[in-house]
Amino acid sequence: MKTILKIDNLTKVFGGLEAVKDVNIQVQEREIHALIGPNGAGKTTTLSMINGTLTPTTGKIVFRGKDITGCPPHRAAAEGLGRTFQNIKQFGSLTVLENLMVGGMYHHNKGGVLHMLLHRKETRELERQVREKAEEIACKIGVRNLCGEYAGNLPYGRQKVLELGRAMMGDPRLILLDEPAAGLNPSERAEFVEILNKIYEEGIDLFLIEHNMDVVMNISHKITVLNFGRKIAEGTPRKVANNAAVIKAYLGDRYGKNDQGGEPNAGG
Amino acid sequence: MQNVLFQLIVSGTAMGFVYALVAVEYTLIWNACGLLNFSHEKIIMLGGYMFVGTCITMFGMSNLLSALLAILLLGVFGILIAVVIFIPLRNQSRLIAVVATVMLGQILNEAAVLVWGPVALMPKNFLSGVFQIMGATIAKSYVYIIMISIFIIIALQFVFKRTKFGKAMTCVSIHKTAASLMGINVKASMVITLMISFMICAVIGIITAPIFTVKQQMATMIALKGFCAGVIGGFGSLPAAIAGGLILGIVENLAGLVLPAVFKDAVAFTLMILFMMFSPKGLIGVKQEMDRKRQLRTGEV
Amino acid sequence: MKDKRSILKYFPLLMLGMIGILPLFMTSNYYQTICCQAMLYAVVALGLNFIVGLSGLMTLGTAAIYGLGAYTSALCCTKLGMNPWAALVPVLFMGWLIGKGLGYPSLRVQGVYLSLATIGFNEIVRSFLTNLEWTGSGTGIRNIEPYRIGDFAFDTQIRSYYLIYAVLLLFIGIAWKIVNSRWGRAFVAVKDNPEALQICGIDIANVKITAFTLSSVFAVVAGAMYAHFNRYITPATYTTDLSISFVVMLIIGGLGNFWGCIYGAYIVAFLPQLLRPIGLSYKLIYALIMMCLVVFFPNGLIRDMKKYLTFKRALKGGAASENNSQDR
Repeated sequence: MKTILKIDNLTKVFGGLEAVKDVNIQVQEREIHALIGPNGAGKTTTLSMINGTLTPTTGKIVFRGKDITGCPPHRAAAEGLGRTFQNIKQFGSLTVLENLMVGGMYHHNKGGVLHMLLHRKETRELERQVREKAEEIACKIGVRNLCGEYAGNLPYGRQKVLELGRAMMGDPRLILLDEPAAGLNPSERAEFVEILNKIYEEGIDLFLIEHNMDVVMNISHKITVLNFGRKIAEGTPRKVANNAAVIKAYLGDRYGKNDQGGEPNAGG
Repeated sequence: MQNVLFQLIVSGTAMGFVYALVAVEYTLIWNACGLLNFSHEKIIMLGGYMFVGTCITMFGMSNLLSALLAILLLGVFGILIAVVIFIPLRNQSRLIAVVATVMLGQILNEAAVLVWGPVALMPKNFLSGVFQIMGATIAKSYVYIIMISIFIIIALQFVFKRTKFGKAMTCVSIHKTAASLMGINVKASMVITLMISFMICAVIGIITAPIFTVKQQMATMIALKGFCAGVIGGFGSLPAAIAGGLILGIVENLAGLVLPAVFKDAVAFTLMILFMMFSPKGLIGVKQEMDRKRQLRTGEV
Repeated sequence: MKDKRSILKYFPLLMLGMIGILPLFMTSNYYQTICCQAMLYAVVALGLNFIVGLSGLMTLGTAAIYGLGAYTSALCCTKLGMNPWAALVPVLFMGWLIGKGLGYPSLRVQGVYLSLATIGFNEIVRSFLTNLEWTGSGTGIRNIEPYRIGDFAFDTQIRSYYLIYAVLLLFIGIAWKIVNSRWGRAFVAVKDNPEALQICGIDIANVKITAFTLSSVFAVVAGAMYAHFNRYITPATYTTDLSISFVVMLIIGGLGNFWGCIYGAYIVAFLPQLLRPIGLSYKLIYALIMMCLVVFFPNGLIRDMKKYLTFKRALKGGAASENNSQDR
């Protein structure tokens, strides 16, 4: 098994607050890895540091053997790191198809505007390719019939799916998902999980933050638990579910059976 | 040489206070409505015209009485504009609001030509004469400008720090929705802010009337430089606006010693653009940065 | 992007055709001059559309760019004795330079700050043009030679008209290609959600700078055309008011609406002339009309009209057509 994403001693300090402290995570290839933890545990901060939206205070992030610590987001994305957001970030005044096409712009772009204007044949070819690909992905995520609709007019669930589709347009190796199932109703959630599985089977690895235990326990192979910016447990879903420190973090002192402290529980 | 320097510093400080007042005046609106009033130049002009053109020339009132009436009239005008333009536009795209206020300025400008004519007006015996201090000749108007500005700034500070209304306005500037949920009437606070802001504009128009004379372009430069002062100090904060105004006034006057006088205006804009590029939060940003560095240093030791 | 099977589809072609035959009806030199100006404004507006309309950045320094184009071309011809056509090379270079130079600040400075910074830029440029000796100070530059091909000089109104018309068509073509390409989508994406664009692997700095460069290239070329058409330029033309007028054209046409730029430019160029017979107060009336247009039709004249009309129809009974079409 190869490691696709390796996070070493990642720390982020906001003012005097240590949002993330010395976190080590290794995401293996062909694995769905979940990151969970109570509110304010530093999950989104970790994700943002991985994809470059935030710069880590200290620590190192290695993606596919390449150090991407402190890379701006567009460079990380170019390396094959896709991402979706917790609160949807959509291009509301573009249509669904155009949204997907923007997602594929990186791979179907060549030169600046002048280059594009001068090479008309190539431009037409690239445009055709990206459109075909967008249509293909639209089918895959089930928004084929909504292609001409403005993204801002879609219902919430569709927008989440669309965001995932946009991430896929960039041919990523790993997609970071920030609470993909939040705000979805049970049937939408089931559909979303199905799509996630489909994506995974295509060879794209997933690293997700999720609150919904249904989803997490169902699809992930490995779970890392954060609390107050520190890693408190890691392992298979079953192992993590029975970990005392995790139960204590989620439910409070009364439910922790024996006080093991913050001992990281290696496993997997 | 020393006398010239002293003169320049006094006039620079006076202009600095004018810029600071301008910065204060639009910062109030910015805080209350989240909009920049690009017509403030013409509001200041209107203040000047109301004072000289209407009250002194037409009504034949005394200088002091005219000034008070002009300020009052502008206050009423502020309420009107708040109801007609600012409240309807508060949720529109910023660009639309900017252009709408610019258009308001043009309307006032054209109206001023029609009402008061194209000839520049000058108040008689108003803040005129000179002081002789330490061998330097200082125009009295500069000294009055400094005094009046300080008075207004202190009064505003009092209103914002001590009165319930001032605190409510601070809340509105921080978060409109939350403020309205807490039972603060956001629209009313916008109306009152605009009234105060327009009254300050009137004061600026009146005190600068002896320097620039009352004409259509009297406030073009001070209005733009008031923006510069706000940016240099740090947008949205009153003390910072004052600091920015003073710095701008003195620096540009001293730059007049080195550069040809015609480029005095370019100095202000260059300074503003430099600040925007390197410290977009202005002096406040510089201070925060220094505090943070100090904290880091002491934290590490 | 979408098929709109309505008569409106042909509106742009109709508009361009009408512009083409307009001089047949407007034979007076005066109105033809205004028409030329309107077409140049339209070119500038098409360029500005990339920044303001599509990317949603508020820049108010376009007049300075327009002016720098005019001055570059005029100075190259009068001082260096260059051919006006050859002078287009330094003009284009100038546009590229301004675009880069303004694009970088736009990365750090946002929202209203950007408007202020660009107003500052406008004032700096104007102050230099007015005060430097070799730009002719306040009096500007006179006797600029017109464009010519062989012995054929574009020196009369009607000849200039068709030269500028050709330039307008060329720039419409270029702008249309860009708006409907990956770059056009990227510009809109920057407005909608810069963060999301970044995670698509696109450098937003690059996109913004490209928008600025395109816009200033359009503006400098229009400026140069103006210099050789009017044959006389003064710094007093390039005020912040003109910059604002350019933005007003976009708003009247509807922000981000491609064809709106053109009719917006015509309205802004012609309205003052049509109001002139009113007399002294025509500028006041003009400003009032502009303000009402901006306040009551913030999404553009035609788009909002359509909305009001469909709304009325819905009130009359019968299903309102759910047509939220926003043409770009």
